[in-house]
Amino acid sequence: MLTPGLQQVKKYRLKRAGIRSLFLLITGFRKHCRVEGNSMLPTLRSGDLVIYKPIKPGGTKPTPGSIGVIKDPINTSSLIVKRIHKTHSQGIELRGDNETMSSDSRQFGIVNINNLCGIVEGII
Amino acid sequence: MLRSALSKLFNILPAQTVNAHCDGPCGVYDPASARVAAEAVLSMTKKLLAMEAPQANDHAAWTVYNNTFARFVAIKEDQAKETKKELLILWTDYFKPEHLASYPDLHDTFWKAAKLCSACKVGIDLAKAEELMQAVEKVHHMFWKSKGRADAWITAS
Repeated sequence: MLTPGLQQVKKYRLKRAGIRSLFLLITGFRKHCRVEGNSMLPTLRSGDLVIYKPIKPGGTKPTPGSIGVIKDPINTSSLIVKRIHKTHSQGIELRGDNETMSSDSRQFGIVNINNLCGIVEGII
Repeated sequence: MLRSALSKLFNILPAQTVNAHCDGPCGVYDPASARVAAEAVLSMTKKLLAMEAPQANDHAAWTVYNNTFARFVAIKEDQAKETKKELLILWTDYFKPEHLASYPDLHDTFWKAAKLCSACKVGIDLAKAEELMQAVEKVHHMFWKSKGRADAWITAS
């Protein structure tokens, strides 16, 4: 649902991970993690297993609209999954697809680009 | 078939969790908490204003009076703080920037309501306590309208 008056980002849809992605996961070129929470509904449900392409700190700049796996800026020992709403020179702005429920950059501000661990490619 | 088998295998194996944070695990918000606390503030304010001081030389009556007065003040201050806390939760956690489009006076409403909580905590002012109830009622209507509902404003007392 688009919210009037707010700039919207193109939300890239996630596909089921193909055999190629699974092969890359087995060989260590991809990582996977399980989603916990409802802030990415309807794209990701709690319990979904997602596959992501790891990004080295300072690596490729993410595309706005893609879904990132990011070190939680409040508790860096845990990871969060959010839509990359915008990219700024200072970092990335995150937003949950479930906007009325999500706790994201609207609360904790712009996140350092080095916190970005990977880009979600699909659901296993 | 191979894809399906691999998918099942990965789903069985343990995986690192990645949080899709919500404001709360349940996402349950309700202005009723603020309303109950604000009603207590109004009630205690009325009780305090209705208290009559005993005769000057009646020591026992003064002891009871002071004790009751102190208890009423303590409850009033505690409930005023509770009202403010509940309002701030709604303001900072439930309401989001997009709600400003529907409620341009959202920040002003909550700011004034929080100020009224402080005024009711500090003083014994019936007008301020009634204003606080009106402010909480306004928040009640904003909240339920934002959820597409029109729940009636009902008070306990």
